[in-house]
This record gives sequence, C-alpha cells and structure tokens, in this order.
Amino acid sequence: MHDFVQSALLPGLSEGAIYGLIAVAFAVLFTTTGVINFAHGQMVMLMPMTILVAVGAGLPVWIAYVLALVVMIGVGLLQEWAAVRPFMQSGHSASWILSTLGVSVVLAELLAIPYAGESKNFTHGISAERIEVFGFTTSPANVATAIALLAVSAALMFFYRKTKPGLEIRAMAEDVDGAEAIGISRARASQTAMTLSILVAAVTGILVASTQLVTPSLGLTYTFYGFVATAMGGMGSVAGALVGGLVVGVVSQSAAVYFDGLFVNLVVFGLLLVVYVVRPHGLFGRATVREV
Amino acid sequence: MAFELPEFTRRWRPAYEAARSTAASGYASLPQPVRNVAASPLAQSVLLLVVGLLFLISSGPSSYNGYVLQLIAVYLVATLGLNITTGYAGALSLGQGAAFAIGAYVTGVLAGAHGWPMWAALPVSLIGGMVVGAAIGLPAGRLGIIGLAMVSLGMVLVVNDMIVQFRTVTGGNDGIAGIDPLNGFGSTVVQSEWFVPTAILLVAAAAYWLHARYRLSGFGRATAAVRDEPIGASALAIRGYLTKVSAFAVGSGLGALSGGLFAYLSAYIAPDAFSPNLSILFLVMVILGGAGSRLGPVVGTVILVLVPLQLDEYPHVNVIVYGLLLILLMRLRPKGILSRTSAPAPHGVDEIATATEYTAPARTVGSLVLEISDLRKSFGGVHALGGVSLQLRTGEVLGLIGPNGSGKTTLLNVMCGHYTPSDGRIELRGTEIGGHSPASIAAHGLARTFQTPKTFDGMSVEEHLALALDRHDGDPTRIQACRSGALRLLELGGLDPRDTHVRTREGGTLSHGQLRFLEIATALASGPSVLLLDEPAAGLSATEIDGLEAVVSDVAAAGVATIIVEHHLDMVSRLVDRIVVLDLGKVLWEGPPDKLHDDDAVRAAYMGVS
Amino acid sequence: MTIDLVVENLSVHYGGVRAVSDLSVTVHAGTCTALLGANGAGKTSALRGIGGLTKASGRVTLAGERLDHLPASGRAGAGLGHVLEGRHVFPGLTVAENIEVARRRARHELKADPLELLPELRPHLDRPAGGLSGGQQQMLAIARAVAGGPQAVMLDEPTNGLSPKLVNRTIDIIADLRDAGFAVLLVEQRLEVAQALEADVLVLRHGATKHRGFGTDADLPDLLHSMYLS
Repeated sequence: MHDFVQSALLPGLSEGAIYGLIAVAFAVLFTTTGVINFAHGQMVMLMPMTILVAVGAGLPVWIAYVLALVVMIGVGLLQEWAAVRPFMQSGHSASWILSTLGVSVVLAELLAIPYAGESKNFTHGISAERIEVFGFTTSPANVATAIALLAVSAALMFFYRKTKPGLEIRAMAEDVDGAEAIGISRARASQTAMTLSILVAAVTGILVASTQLVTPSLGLTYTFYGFVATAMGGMGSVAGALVGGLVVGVVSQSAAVYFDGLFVNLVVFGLLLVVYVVRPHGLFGRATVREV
Repeated sequence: MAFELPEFTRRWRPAYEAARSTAASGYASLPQPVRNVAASPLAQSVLLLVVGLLFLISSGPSSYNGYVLQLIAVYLVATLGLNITTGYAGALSLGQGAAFAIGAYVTGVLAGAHGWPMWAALPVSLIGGMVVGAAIGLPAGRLGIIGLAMVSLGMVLVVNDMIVQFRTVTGGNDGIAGIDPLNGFGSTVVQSEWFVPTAILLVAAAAYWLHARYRLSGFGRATAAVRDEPIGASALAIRGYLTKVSAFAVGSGLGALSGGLFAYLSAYIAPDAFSPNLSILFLVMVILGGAGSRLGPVVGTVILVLVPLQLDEYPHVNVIVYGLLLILLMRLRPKGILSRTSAPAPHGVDEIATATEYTAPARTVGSLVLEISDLRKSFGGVHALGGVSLQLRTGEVLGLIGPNGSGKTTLLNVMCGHYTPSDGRIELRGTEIGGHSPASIAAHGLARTFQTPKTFDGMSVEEHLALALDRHDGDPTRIQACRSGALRLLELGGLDPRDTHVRTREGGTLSHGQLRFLEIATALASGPSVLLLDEPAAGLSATEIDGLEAVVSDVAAAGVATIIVEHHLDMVSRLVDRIVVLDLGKVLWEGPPDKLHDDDAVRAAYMGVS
Repeated sequence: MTIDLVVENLSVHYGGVRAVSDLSVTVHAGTCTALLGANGAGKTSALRGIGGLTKASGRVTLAGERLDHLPASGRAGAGLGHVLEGRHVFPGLTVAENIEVARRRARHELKADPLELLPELRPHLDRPAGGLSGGQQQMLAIARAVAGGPQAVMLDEPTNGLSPKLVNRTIDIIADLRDAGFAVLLVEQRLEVAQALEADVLVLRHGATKHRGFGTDADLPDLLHSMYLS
C-alpha cells in the first residue's frame, strides 16, 4: 500500500493537478467562446521555453520571467484574434479545431528551433529537491501543483462571482446576443477569457518544468490529456476539471508504474473511450434535450 | 467581424467571380452526354493516369521530378481517403496520419522483413486501415465533432507509441529498411525501375476512381445528405449510422494504402516520419482543394507537395507554412470547410422532368392509413401531449391547428419518430411505429416537411430529387401523381428541372421560398402514403399558396393522406376535409371547416389570441 | 440637442433574401413609434439591423452620433437600448446580477432607475433569472436595457406570450419610458398596443414599408386585417 501511494498515487495526484489546470483553462475559454484551444498544451510549453531562451541569452531570471509572461500574453492575444474570435459561438466546431491546431503546429515548430526538440532541464522554477511529508517522499514542486490547482480554481470562482469583468464574461457565456445588446463586447469578453486561460497556462508551464523535463514536442499530448480530464469532468465545469484531472493523473501514473512507459498514452486513450461509452457528458455535465 | 482580404484583391474579385461563373455556366451548357462523360469517374481517373504516365516517361522514373510525381500520387491516395471521411461525411478526423503509419508499417513488416510481394502486402495494409477506421467509426455517431477530433488525435499519439513499443516487429526507432517489390513470396527483387512508379500511379488512379464513384453513388448521396442535414436525411429514410462508419472505413483504408505505397517509394520507414503533423498536412490538402468536392484533393495535394518543396532547404519553415495556411484557410472560409460539394445526379431529375401529367379524379376518402390512440408525451414534468387520438384515411386532407404551445409540433415529432411516446399507440398502415427511428418510419411511407426547410445546402437540386427517388415503392398511380405534383411544385418555385442551370444549383444558393418548394417536391417525389406538411404556407404569396393547394388536392385524389399544420386559416379552410384543433396537448375540437368558427371554446382558445 | 433616433434607408439581407428594404424612420425623444406587421414581415430583422446584431446597410444616428459603423455592443454603449425578442435574460445569473452587469454610466440627463420603473422585481433580486416566469423575465429584460443608461429604447414584441394583465402593465411601463423623455421604437404584431400608446405607426410587409400613420387611425384595423390574411 505504501508503495502504491508513494509511486503511483502521490505523483499521480501531482501530475493530475497539472492536467486539472489545463482542463480548468479549457473550461474558462470554452464557456465564454465555445472554443477549446488545441494550442493550449503548446502554450504551456512556451512559458518555460521562453525563460530558458532568455536566461540562455544572458538575462537575469526575474527579467526572463517577466519577458516570458509578456510573450505569453502577446501570443495569446494574437491567437485569440486570429484563431478564436472569428469562430466564437459560431457552431462551426471544425473551423476553430483546425485553426487552433494550426497555431499549435506553428508554435511547436518555432519552439523546436532553439533546442531541436530535445528535452531540457529547468532549474529556474520551484525546487524539486526531495522532502519528507508524513513518511512519504515528495518535493516542494509536487506539493505546489496541488496548491496551485486549488488556488487557481478559487481565484477564478472569485473573479467570476465578485468582479464586473467576471460577471460580463458569465453573461456572454449564457447569451451572446443578450450580452451584446447591453454593451458587452464580444472582443473584450473573448480577450478576457483568453488572458485568464493564458495566465493559467503560464502557471502550468512553470509547474510542468519544475516537476519534469521540458519537452517542447509534447504540446499536443498535454492538450489531449487535458481534454480527457475535461471529458471526465464535464465540459465547462471547473469542479469537473479538478476531479477529472486528478483521475487522469493517477491513472496515467499507475500505468507508467505497473506497465511499460509507452503504454501510458494507450491507457489514457482507453480511459477516454470508457468515459464516452459510460457517461458521455462527464461527471458534472448535463445531457441536453435535442430540438427538432 | 470576419477577416477581410486586403484591398487590392477586391479589384480582382469581380473578374474572378465572372470567370468562375462563365466557366460554370459554360460547363452547364454543354450537352448532357458530354457532361456525363466529363464527370464520369472512369474518364477522369484514366485522364489522370495518362497525364501521370506521360510525365513519368518524360522525366524518367529515377529522376527527382519522377520522385516528386510519385510523392504526389502517394499522398493523393491518403488525401482522397480523408476527403471521403471529412469531406463527404463531414466527420473531422485528425487520424489520417495514424492510418498512414499503420499502412506503412504493415507493408514494411510484410514486405521488408517477411518477403511478401507487393500485390499481397498492399491489400493487407488496405484491410488493416479499414478495420481500424471502422473501429473508430463505430462510436463516432455518439461523439460529436469535438469528441471525434480528440479520439482521432489520441489515435495518432497511441499509434506512434505502439510503433516504438513493439520494436521486435517494427524495428523501434531504427525502423525498417529494404522495402523492395518482390517477384513472389520470399523471392528476388523486381529489376525494372519502372515497376514501383507505375504501380503507384495505377493505384492512385484506381483510388481516384473509387473516390469519385463513391460520391456519385446513391450511398454517397446519402452520406452527403446526412452530413448536411441529418434530420432532413432521416425524413428521406436514410440511416446515418452506416454512412459514417463506411466513410471512416474506406477513408482510413485509403490512408493505410497510401502508407504502404510510401513504404515502397522510400524503401525505408522510421517512426519520426509519422507525427501528428502528417495528419494536419493531409487535412490542409483536403481543405485547400475544397473538402467534399471530387477534384479538390488533386488540387490540394499537387499544390501542397510542390510549393513547400521550394522551401525544403529551410528546416521548420515547411511545417510553419502548413500551420499558417491552415489558420488562413479557416479565416477565409467562415462558413466551414466544405466547398463545391455537389455532384451530378441526372437520372433522378429526368424521371421527374418527364413525369406525365396526372389528371386527378374526384376525391374520395378510403381506408384507414394512420391511427393514433391516446398518445401522450411528457418532457420531465411538462405534459406536451395529454392523450391525443386521431384517425387519417387515404385520400383525406386534415388540417391541424392550435395556438402556440398546443402541442402541434410535438405531435408531428412523435409521429415521425424524433421523440418516443410516453404512452399510447401510433399505427401506420397497420404497423405500430411508436418509438421507431425517423428513418424507419419514413421508409414505411411517411414523408414530412419542416417549418424551416431541412434541405441540403451542399447538394444540387437534382441530387435532392435523386435522394427521394433512390427509395420509393408502392402503388404506381400514386407514384405517378406524386411525381407530376413534384414537377408542378418545382415549377411554382421557379426551379424548372429541365433547365440544366437550375438542376446543378446547390441548396445553399437558393432562396427561402425556393427551398420550401424544393423540400415539398422532394418529399412528394418519394411517393409517400402519408404526407405531413408543417406550416408550408409561411412566407408564400397568394398565387404560390393556390398552386400548393392544387397539388395537395391532386395527390390526395390519388390516395395520399395529408396532414397540414397551419396558422393560415383561409388556406386551411379551402383545402381540408376536416380540422382538428389542439389545445394544451389535447384535441379540443374536430369537425368540418365551415363549423370551426361556430364553436365558442375554439374561439376563446385559438382566435382570441391575435 | 434632441435625442432622436434616426434610421435612413436601412436594408437587411439574409442569405439571398431581402428581409428589410429601404426602411426610414425617425423616432423623436419622448415619443413612441411602432413597427407593425405579420410574421416574416421583417420587423425583427429591422430592429436587429438597427441594433447591430445583424448586418445591415443604411444610416443609423442617435442624438446626432452615427452608429452604423459600430458593433452591437458599441451601439449599446452609445445609448441604444435593445430589448430582444424572446427576452434573452441570463438564466444562470440572479436578477440583481442581470441588472448589475448591464449598468453603465449614463451619458446625459435622461435617467430611469430600473428598480423604480419596475418595482415588482424587488422581491426577486436573489433568484436566478432562469427561474422567473415569462412575464417576470420580460420585466427583467426591460430593466436590464434601462440600467445601461440608454437614450433610446427598442423593444421587440414585448407583449408576446403575456397574459392580458401583464400586457397592460407592459404598456404602462413603455408609456413611462416615453414620458420620461426616451425615444421608444417598438415592434409589435398587435395593434392594441400601438393604439394604447398613441404611437406613430409603420406597417411592414415582406420587408417593405407599406403604410405610415398613427395608432389611433380609424382605418388601420381593416388595413392590417387584410394584410395579415392574404
């Protein structure tokens, strides 16, 4: 039992928190714009990669962080303008799936230029040294992922319920025409949602880099895992994203421990199929009645 | 706020549009036999083959140009396959790269490691791809576009892992070398350098033929109909499920076949050649040429193999260009990825256009054809139908009226199979149909039109009629009357089926009024026993309504039983034999039209409100 | 400067169909104008075109400021209030939140407090808007439009589906708006509403303006009757 907790459960929860963060970011963007950003996983990679490039060019770490944040938001808003806003709540899913995929491809290729797709060690994040907690070995970085997930979710809840911009994007999410008719601009709502989503991606990126090697080509894989978490928890539900992420994390970590590492994707894929067969709208989602 | 092309292109727009429509109408003006030949899959594929061979002969099979030609042909097969899945069936699949990889490895292992000849290895790849495709296609119906995209993405990631994992079979990261065409099982390598290139061109031409033939077949039409408007398709007795599974199977099969050809072309395969980027490349090829069209994949593949080759010297630029191109294409096509998706279907229209005039005898009411007994339907706590009983006989025209929220549309939807009854029975021609699927009920002879016409935007007028004619049965007199009626309705709507310019117009270019007439004509063309018209007169002029009334009356005389749901009381009173008034989910009153205004309850419930 | 809503040569196309042709109307501050017509006459398309929710050609001016180059949200910000057909309240937000999210600083002296205008909403402030009845949602939609500090208010079939008692209440509220100085543009199927408000009337048919007059004109009922039935 101790082995299971040590080698599968704890690391799984820590990894799962990362997938949960990706799923939360999906939920933020999806509820307002109806778009799932296929390039999100790549954006997660962009944060630590930019820091590495900046530090490699000689900049002090804290400036590298600021620069990376600016780049993230800049790229995010550009992406929002080019690949998200034109298809906002349009009902043509194929269009935004393909355009955000296009962004993912471009970003992945750009990130491959500085380091030719090799994995890099990231030493500028949260410490990865071993510490003992309640008889189990873990690291500050691992603990930070769980804390980050809870903190981000709480911050989002506060934002949505207690601030005017949060109220506005909730309104836009419920009824686009109604929101526009009272002066809430689509562009502003979409940009706000995207910025929030990018900020979550930035946090996620630092956590990923602190807990494992940075592999820039894994962008789509992270997108996929985040989506499986979303499918489990229900589209657009922050609580669902949390639960879904943790489940995916534990399942994938268990697969890595008890089977060969190369079977992990297969197991997670299988998990997605199971979700679709058993409960297509996720744990917290709602089935809709078809209109004719 | 759609993306707008830069100012300077606007000057060329009119010229471009003029050129395009001249070409289109020039094509439409050619005599039918010439158009038939030009559009024939056999002619087109033979033409492609001949062009390819000429090119091959002039540049030489082992030259650089020869290699490029073969690469185009190889990728074309995969693009054709993806066009069937994503273009014809409208199912966005990110997994064509995975099918390609599977096919490459199956052929690589069989031919490279186990000495199979080409004519044995390639078919196994094809079948392997089809099996995988069918497996993805089976749950595809439940998944929705996003789910399907993610599942196919997952497939790509998994296939990559599996290739590396089973390294004893696949050679892992080292790959498989020495994939050469053999003279027989475990035999010597074929000496001629023409063998592989010619084989590739032949297979590509055959794949083109299959792909074009698929679209022109009744099954292909059904596939396109389900893509454009699944509810309208089910109203024409088309079952969507099989069309989607088939599209996946064939599409992935061709993808795998393409991978097998690639294995022979490069004689060596390794996992890093097969990444999600390959799936995206195939998607861009399909979309660039116009997803859903027949020639589109050829255009897309040629452009996307030739152009980036110029950029080959700069690593990474290729892929960045694909990505940017994909974003740009989506911005330029805000209505989705399909384009020029209609296909010819002349035979159907010919039958309608030559329909002989039907002289209607006097109208008589015959035997019971539809019986509804105590039908109830609840949604959660809402009782939409609280026990409706209704009888309809052949040759009868029944008007169904009632205020908003009375349950008229719910009743129609339950009759047609979109909702399952909570209680009660519906019998059509003696068979219980309550709870059956819409397609199955339509197949029993029930045709329906909708408040908003459920026609097919990407299909031509002649294809609509062909869809209806693909399935028909029953009494010849009734069918003759229906066809004649359909012809008159088309003419009323300004859609003369004898005019080739009209026949080939896509549903998406027609006006609302024209679509309404097209929808009713299509419903009639299938020769139904029972016709349900849902607010057919909305938005029509007085002359158009008169024409519609005459047609309904005539086909009723031939035995078609009709229910019309309408607000337009004048039309209803002139045409129907009987009126049923619904209110709050129950039958409030039933009787002949001239007695309608006498009843106090009806006046209060229905006409008091506007 | 009077706060007039001026519409000139408005045309709206919907995929090949001309929903509205060449509509011109001026709504003066403190008056009410009604667009009447049967289903499909183009009334809602006209309002959506003026409001910016649907693409339209022509000029729209409010208090001297051109609106037609602005998106819908910009027009609302410039003072054009729009109560949509079917209300479109935000079902997951409470009544108070619905009103709060619409609040904007008014740019001028015209003021109407949503809760003073519609006191019947006060007991329901903390209820999710999705749980309200149709009539209450209609009230909320009007309150929401007013909360934005508009200069002109457009209402699309506000009495649709309401009981006679609520229809009268709605007419009273619209009269209050008019009397407070707003320019009110109304779309309706029912003549009684235009009559009760003594509104200027335009009758639309297949997108074209067929008649101009007053709600109190004696020949209007027959004119509408013949138009609706043909």
